[in-house]
Amino acid sequence: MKFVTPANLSGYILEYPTEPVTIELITTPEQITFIQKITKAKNWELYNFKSSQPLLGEEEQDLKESYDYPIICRRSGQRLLILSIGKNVIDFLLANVFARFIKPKFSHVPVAIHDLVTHIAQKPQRYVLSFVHARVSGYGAAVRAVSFYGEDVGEADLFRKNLYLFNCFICGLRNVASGGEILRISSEGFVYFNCPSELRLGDVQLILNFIKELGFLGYVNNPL
Amino acid sequence: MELAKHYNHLTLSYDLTSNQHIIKIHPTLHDALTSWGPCTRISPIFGLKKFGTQSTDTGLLPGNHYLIFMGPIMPAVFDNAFEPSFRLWLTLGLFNIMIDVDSDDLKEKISEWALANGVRHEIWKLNNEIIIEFHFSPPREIPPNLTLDTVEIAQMHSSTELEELIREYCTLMTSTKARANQAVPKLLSDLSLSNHFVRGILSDVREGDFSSDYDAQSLMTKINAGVSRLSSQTFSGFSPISKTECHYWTHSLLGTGTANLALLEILTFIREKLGTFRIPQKLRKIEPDKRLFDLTSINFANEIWYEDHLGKVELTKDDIAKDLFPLFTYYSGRDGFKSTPTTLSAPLAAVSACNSRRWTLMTLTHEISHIFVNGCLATIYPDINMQSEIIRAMDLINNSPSNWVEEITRYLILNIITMENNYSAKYRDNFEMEDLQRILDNWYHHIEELMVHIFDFLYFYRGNYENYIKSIWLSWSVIPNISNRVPEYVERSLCAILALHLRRGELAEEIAAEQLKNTFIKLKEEEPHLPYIQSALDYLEKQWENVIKGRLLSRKGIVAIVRAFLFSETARAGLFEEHKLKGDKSQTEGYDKVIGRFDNRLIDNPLRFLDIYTSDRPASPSDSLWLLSTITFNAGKPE
Repeated sequence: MKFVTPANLSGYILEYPTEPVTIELITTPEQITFIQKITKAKNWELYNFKSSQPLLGEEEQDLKESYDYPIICRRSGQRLLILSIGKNVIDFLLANVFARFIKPKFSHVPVAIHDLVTHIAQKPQRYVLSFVHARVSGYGAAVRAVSFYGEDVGEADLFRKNLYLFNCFICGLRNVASGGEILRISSEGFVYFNCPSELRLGDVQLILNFIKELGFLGYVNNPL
Repeated sequence: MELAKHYNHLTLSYDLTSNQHIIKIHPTLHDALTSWGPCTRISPIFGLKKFGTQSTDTGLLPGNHYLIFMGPIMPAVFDNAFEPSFRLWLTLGLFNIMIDVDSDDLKEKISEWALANGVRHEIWKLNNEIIIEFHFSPPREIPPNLTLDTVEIAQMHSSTELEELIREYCTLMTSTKARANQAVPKLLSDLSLSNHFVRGILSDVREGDFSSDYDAQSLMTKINAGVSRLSSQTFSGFSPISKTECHYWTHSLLGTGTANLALLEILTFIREKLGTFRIPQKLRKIEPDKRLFDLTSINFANEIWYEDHLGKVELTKDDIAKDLFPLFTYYSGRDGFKSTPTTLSAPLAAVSACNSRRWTLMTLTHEISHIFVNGCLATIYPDINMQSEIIRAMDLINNSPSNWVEEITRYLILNIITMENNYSAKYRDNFEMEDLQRILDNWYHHIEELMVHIFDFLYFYRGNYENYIKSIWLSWSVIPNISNRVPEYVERSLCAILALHLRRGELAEEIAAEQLKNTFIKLKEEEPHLPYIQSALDYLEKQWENVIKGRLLSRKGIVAIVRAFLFSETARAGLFEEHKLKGDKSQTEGYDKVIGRFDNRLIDNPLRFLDIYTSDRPASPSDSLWLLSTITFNAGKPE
């Protein structure tokens, strides 16, 4: 198994409740094997997931006994960012493999997207919003949701002035100084990004650190 | 209707021995030059695949045949009306379609179609290359009052020096109106507006006042030059073609009317969308807040710097009573991109290269921005030639202003003083009147250029720093011997980008520098032979800490003034509005046009279209023709 770029990667930020996540923990199910550390991205690892069924809509004539999917992970204490080349792969892995063989279960790390979006819009720094998707609560069925796309959505007066009407739950981020969108992240900790080379993993890591330092990773809005 | 990549050269000669006009199509300029005579004129003609003229070897039909010149007309409209049973080429002149047909019936059908659709045309009957007869479509009726307003001007009394200029103007304008009436009647209203302004200029001259007379002479000289060039370029090559030579030598036969109309279309659009927004008038009435407060006490995180203050100003009928001057547009090898209060020019090279970023007509926006910024500076920059203004400026620094315009003026002056202190590496906050006058005089041009760059960047480049930096540095690359101005250009570029980052606190300058550096690196990769880029990179890297950052900080207030008080998102939205877009064309922001292919689908916004379709591709006469034709014929008219 090799990690071939470019690739579109998607997955989740998870948390293990009792102890730091180790390679041994991840490879508890026999379907998961550790392959190697990814050379150009520090602390990122490549695993192989052997599935008995196709998960990415493979053609019937390609039916095999088993299907190999790359799993890319970054461990940080009790947190784990787990990605693959399709959301279906990760969803299946979590629901049918991890849930079955790893106890206690991993939980999704929520992300305070609306707070993150508000913070970036009000106090812009290095990372800016390239995409925002939000529900709109004040207009009933007339307008249910809005999406914004751009190089710096938070800079637009239109967006900042109306932010109070939105409930943002997905956003995309980029480095203001250069380049396109680095990743998209949702309030349920779902992460999606285009990975043109292994170096992108480092950019993703920096953004997740940025979100964590702001206190929006794992934040739970507890009305009680 | 797809344009061929290469073009032919059409020549018209007059043989003095045989008294005959000879028309030829040459595959190359070299071929044309070898048979050149004293009366030879030339123009490029562009073939179309559908009409069998894509090869440069395609010549004229043999035997008896007709050449039909028609226009100005959207090529696709004509294409839809006829099957491709004749040879057809496109040109850059007002007669932008040239047809070669040997059937009398077809010639009649085409002529009847043109007459029915109000399209002017000229038909040459030929035997091989010799023109036997000339036929012209009936001229348009001359409106009875066409010359009335010009005659009124001719009758106005003036000094001897001014009288000569008025005589020149009147003959120029009468001729221009007569030609416009025949070729492009829609220009008549702008020409009449020009007469209205000239009457005003002459009425303002006070008898015996040398100064006001001299001002009028200066204006009239520029106006006459503008009208002369507009007329000679736009209307040359129209009926009768053999008698309307164009002084643009490589287009001397058919002129560059299509290209001139494109220039006019862009300018008219900007005038209608941004000019009528009346930025200088709105600035005079601006009121960012009901309370008047000290701008120096507000940091750049405050929303007052980002609200659309101009957009909230309502103007009265009196505020907009004065018409906007219809600038005279033309192409010029000597002037290049240049604006004056009455004219706007683009380089000759743009006619055949405007598809490329180096020669894009988007660069016009810098010149147009000068006009807007000058109008605004007339409100907020003290007139250093008037003692009363200097006294007022001194008073503003030391005392509280009484309204927002005064506060903005005060803020501007204080920032200029900051720049002066930074420049002289001395801190002074105590000035005599003479000092202040000298400082304001010294810095005016610099402030104007800085504001123009930021204005242009925010309005016309929509804050897209990569496009902006590439465009301006490519346009500077064609100017020789400006190495000593690279530092100044780097600083202007940084100030423009800084407008995007005012809210980023201490990171603002660093991020602006990083964006500029990254863009320079990309530009260097794309165009390794581009001059000045390496010098700019070296300057940015080596002098950032010691020189540039400090200068940028001292100019931040100027950047903020443009961002807050000269820029309006409402106005920009109007400037780039476009409703004729498709959903699946993100590469071209919704336009579904293909370079080199003519269609009859309209566009609302020639400026936006120009921005999208100017590319990093090499200069191409055929791509440029397509761009200019689309702007001229497909922009904002009902079908």
